[in-house]
Amino acid sequence: MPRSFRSALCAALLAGAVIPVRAGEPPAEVISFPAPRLTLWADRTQAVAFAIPEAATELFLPTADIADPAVAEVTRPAELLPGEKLGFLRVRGLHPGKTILRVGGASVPIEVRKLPESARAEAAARIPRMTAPVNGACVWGKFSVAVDWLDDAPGGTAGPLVALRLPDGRRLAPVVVTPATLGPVRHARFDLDAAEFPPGPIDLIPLASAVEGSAVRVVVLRPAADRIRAGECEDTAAAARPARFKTTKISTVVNDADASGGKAVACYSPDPVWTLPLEVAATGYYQLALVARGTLAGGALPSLAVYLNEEENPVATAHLAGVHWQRLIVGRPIRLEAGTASLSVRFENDFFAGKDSDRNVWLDRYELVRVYAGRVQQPALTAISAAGNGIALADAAPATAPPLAAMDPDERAAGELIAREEAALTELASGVQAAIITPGAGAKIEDAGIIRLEGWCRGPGGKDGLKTDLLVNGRNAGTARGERPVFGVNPGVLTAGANRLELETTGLEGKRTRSMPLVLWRAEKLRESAAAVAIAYPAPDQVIGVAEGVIARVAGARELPAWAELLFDGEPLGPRLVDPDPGAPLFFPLPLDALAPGAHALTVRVMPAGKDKVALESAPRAVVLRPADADTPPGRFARAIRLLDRFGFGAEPAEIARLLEVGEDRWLDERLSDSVEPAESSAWIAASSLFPPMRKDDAATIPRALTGLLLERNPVRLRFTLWAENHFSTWIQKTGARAKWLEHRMFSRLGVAPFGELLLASATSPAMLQYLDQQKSLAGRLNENYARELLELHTVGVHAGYTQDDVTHLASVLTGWMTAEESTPDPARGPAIERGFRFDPVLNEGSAQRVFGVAYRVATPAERFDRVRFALEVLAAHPATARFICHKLAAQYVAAEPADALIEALARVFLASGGDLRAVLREIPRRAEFWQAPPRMTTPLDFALRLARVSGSRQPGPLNDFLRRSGAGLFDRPSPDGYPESDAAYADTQALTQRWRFAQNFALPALDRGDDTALSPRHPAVLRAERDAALQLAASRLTGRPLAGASLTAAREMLVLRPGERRSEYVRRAAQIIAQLPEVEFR
Amino acid sequence: MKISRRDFLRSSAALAVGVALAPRGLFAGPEPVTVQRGRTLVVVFLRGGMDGLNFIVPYADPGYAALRKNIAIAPPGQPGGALDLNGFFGLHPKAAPLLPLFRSGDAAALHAVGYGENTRSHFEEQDTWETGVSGNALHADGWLNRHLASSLGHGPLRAVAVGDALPRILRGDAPALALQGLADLSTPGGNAQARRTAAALEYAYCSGPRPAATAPRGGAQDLLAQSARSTLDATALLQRVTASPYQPAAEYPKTDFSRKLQDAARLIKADLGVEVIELDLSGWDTHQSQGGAEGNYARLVQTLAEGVAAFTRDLGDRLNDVLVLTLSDFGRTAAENGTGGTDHGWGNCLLAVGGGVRAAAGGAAPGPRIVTRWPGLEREQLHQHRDLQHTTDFRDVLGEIVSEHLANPNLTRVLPGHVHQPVGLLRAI
Repeated sequence: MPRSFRSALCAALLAGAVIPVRAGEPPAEVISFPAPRLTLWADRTQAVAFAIPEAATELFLPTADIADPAVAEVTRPAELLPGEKLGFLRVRGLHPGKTILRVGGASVPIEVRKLPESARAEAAARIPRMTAPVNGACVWGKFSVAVDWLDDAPGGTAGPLVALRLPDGRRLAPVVVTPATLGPVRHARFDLDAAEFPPGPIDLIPLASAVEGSAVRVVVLRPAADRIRAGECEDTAAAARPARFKTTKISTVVNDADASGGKAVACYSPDPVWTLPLEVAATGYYQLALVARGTLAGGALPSLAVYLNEEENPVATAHLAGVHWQRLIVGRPIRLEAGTASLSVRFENDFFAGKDSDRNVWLDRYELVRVYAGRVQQPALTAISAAGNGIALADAAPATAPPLAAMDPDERAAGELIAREEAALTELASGVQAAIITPGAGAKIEDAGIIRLEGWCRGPGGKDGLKTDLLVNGRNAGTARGERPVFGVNPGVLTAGANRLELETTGLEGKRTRSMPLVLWRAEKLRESAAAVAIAYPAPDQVIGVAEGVIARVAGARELPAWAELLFDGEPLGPRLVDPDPGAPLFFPLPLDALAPGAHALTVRVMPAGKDKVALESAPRAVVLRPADADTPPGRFARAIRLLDRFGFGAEPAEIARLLEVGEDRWLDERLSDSVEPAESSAWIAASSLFPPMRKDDAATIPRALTGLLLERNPVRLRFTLWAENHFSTWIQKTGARAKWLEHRMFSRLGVAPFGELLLASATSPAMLQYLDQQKSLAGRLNENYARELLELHTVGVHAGYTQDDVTHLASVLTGWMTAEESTPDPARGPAIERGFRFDPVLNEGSAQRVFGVAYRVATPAERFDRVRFALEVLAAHPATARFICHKLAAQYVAAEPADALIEALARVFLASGGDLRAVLREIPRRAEFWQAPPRMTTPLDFALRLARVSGSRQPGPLNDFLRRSGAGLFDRPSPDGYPESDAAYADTQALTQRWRFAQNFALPALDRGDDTALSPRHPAVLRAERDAALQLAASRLTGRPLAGASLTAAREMLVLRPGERRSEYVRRAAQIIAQLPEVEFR
Repeated sequence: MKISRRDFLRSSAALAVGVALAPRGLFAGPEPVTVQRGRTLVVVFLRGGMDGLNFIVPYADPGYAALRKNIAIAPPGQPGGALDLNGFFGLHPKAAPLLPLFRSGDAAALHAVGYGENTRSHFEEQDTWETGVSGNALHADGWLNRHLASSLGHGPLRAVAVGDALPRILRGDAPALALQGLADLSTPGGNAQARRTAAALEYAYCSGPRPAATAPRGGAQDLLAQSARSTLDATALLQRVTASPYQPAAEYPKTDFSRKLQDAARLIKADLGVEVIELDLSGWDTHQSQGGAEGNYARLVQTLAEGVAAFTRDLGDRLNDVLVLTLSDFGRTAAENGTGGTDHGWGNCLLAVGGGVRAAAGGAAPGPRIVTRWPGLEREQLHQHRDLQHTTDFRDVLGEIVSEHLANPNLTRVLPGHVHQPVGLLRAI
């Protein structure tokens, strides 16, 4: 696109009157803003665009200020470069409120709004992490504590910024903190003396920039001298290395005046490892400490991992606290068997980018202390939780261990922590997994009706061998078998306030596990209501049209329902809903075509499962059926289905019910905000419990992620998250499974966040920086890959008018914006080394650049991080970005080739709302185009998720196979443009072949739970009616609409009922047929 | 109502193009000609931007070695050196299986091919090479599909992509089939129930109510109807091909790429009237650690060369009717970058094997042929001082192949908006 046209396009997006330019400096009144009002986010800097009608002939620097300095401040003056029509200034939102922004005399109202913490891109990185010692470590003597966190204040936070909270409440100041000139991830070192604390467990809590991190529990030891073995590292420099390291080198020993003995072992690369040969006198648990120093480069300090004998996976890790000599507690206690052993320490995150950017580590002394003699035996799991912190080790202590009474108190405390850790690891290794699927996290119990609690278990023993107990506040409250245990929980057994519910599942050979607890809040007083069922939709005397449904709610039930059915003028209509959830709305499709128009009565009947077989029946609801061929605009029901088709994943009963109950606007507001479930939703907890992370090459990532997609309760948030992830697409085969998983979690947590936050989140995602080679783009060694896609695919779009120079210059601004590998605190549960975002100002070019009409001046090292942030803010605030993003959103939510008027309207909302995508999405159904848009082809992921979610299917395996065969595997798009938005891309022969295959094997669990009514040989007309009812039921459940036309004819041809067949069987076959028809291909 | 697929098959197979597609204004422009039976074009798309300078290596260009200190291919005769072709160009050593084809004249390379509006973006440039339209290719269909749409073939299965999905180059109004492999089409079909299902599906997809007035032509429903018909037709046809096991006349390497080529050979030998086959070989975006005679890039070259060589042996005499052509996003920077790789560049080389390449060279053993006007690699000769210039427009190459090999003269329809110049690959200048 020619540049002039691009500028005209931007100008068209900018509101305000265009006044002819007079010669000379442009007069103030011709300045216009992207929208008649602007939004800023509190505690955030943002770029604000302004425009003039004709390209400036010289540098234009209008004054810029804000009327109420308490609400916002200008942090970079307004500037418009020669040859440009678009200029930018930078503003920081301070407090929620309204004020006026003035630029060169022109003014625009601005509103500062509060950004939800869950929508902040770097919220997690700002939480300080204590990286050494780790949870469960044993400490003695003087030792160093390492804390790091992201300090994203421009130029770095000044003054007291980090502290360590000690058990007595004191705040300890750091010995040293890395300066902001070495990067925004700050590293603090604290020195503690264990002698100042009583023996036993103590909690240390890091605090930085007013954010508190997680407490780390360590055990203070008072070891007698005979429990300690210590020595100089250089003394074993030539020790034999375990064969697994395949090294022929020996450790390098260097002179170092500050090291004890004047010498130290230098590690310049992972090879060779430094090895400590051992003769272990007694089996037991030993804590390693090392005196070490290192260099900071690439934004990170050295990380070490400790390997036992020939083992592949490390048994402990450590992360240095600073660059000077320090005494470092390495990981948790290591179990050593009596006899010959070796511990090998490997430098895991070597980095070299020149003489001044070389990460290395030196080791001076080692100490190994016995923290517990003998072997800790696994106490029964129930004993651990029942006893809480005061676990009774004496009962379980093996004969090899000394009697507890004979132990030092510190040894006993260490043993307790070790026992708990070992028990948890044994549970993890048992291969049994359990999770609570419903109710969801955060559920509040207010009435006395029974709660249906459903679990999901996996593990050895399979379907039949698994036995699950429900524990309510530690007490057994029922037992069930199989992979999908269901319990009825009487709210009477809950105490007022928080209740802890867990599943304990036992598989073969007594292997067992405990699910993550579900916390249920019970009201102080329960509402006692009589058991009743009521029809929620349609309303009394409502005129309803073709293809609607009936929604009913159960209240106050004392027993779980066995089934529910709809009565039409007193006669059962369609198959029963078997085993429904009384807490969720009951949805009965109401296919109309066989029913006579006019006045009718609807009744819903619910049959309890227990002995008390008295059915609940709703009051009859009078309705008027409209003739099937009546030509009327879409009613509430049809509009609900369209909203769900486009904003969610089709006709999910709970969503239809909520939408009809509260109305379109409120439903969408609820779904766009976090009110449905907290960001850390039960879907993620369940998915992570069922498919736990593995230590290497996390093969469970895809099934875990798919499980999360199936269980996520908020379909609107889910669709948006998948869109955002596809927009900022990365490829699991290049990022690695772990980084991709973390990125997926990050987007899920952010939800429908402002665009600037999504952009920043992606730009600081290790997966993205690895995928597009940004982490290799360093001063003097540019790699343009990320810079190009940042412009082309993530922000302004390929036709925005930027040039190759803009790409190269942006790549220069971005140099040193990278990742670093560092050790994780828990190598037993996941990878020992993980990538994190880092910025290294030393590796940033810092030179003056002009990128897409914006000047970036020479920056000092402390300014360089903020300069990249500004570059991202300019891209986020650019009118071309608004248009590019709104085009993609309109394509996703409305039509593959959306009308220009719609794109412009959404872009105006984008620009006025500070890129608030909730506002953009809210605007979509207000537009006529949304309701008139022709059907959109589903993507393979849409297709499979819709079928699975509307039918309650929860198996990730078939989904994964289908997606891979369709060439649309989850996280498996090699190119950074993401899976395409067009219809044509998903309508080819290959896609269709795979859809038909998937459909032929598709099960409908929600309808397929044993309606045992068998089909007796009957009159053909009755059989035909039964067949049609089954087809229409399945069609309504899967698509929200009954079948018609050619598809109905074809489906009748395909479904042949067999006498004697059970109802659930032919309904399942009907569903498989519907799932092959064109109706399910569209949304 | 009884639905029988036979009726649909009869109408769709005999009149697949005419009946199903004519109403959509396909034949605007010159009258469609019937293509020559038995000719096939196999397009191998090298996704990611193949580094042509290390494939057909200009070792005698004085600029070459200086630009690529770590990744240059040594001159012929040195360890890991290029395999000499004509005293100036040499083949990457891992492309050795192609050397006999160059010597016999069956293979030729085109070098410094490109066009003037390269954006250096993978997606834009793959789109450009696949649509044959430069500039805004957003709404253009593939040039191979336009070839199909502007000519008449010999059966319902004219175009096949062996891969995950239908590539842009084959997207458009004319039916084309994408399959991961010939073994992939086992359903639906076989027994009576499957035939009944197929008939019912065709009825549901292809005779359903046309989209409402709001749905534009070519919308999702039309696309799906067309796709359903091709799927059912092709399934029926291919099930006949796969009914008996295949005995290739040459041994293929055990790579996914070669498995696709073997399926292509099987389709060609089955004489179904398949005239266009597309397959991908990905991984050429070598920004870092590209390597020289060995390494990541060399492994890709080896996969390509061994596969194509086996394919030509398997085809035997039929190679005269089959042309293999490689395309890629763009060339790569003439100089290596800071991470031992190359970035997105400009002009590139294309490989053409079989299908009249030898005949056009004239003579029984004309020797290795490089079709190029070499622009040179000195700084002043490079495009924007960084990339190999293009001296041949890629649309000229495609045009010559469409008109000579596929015998479709409707170039204004297949490659619109381009004034064609002879290239000299299939037709002596």
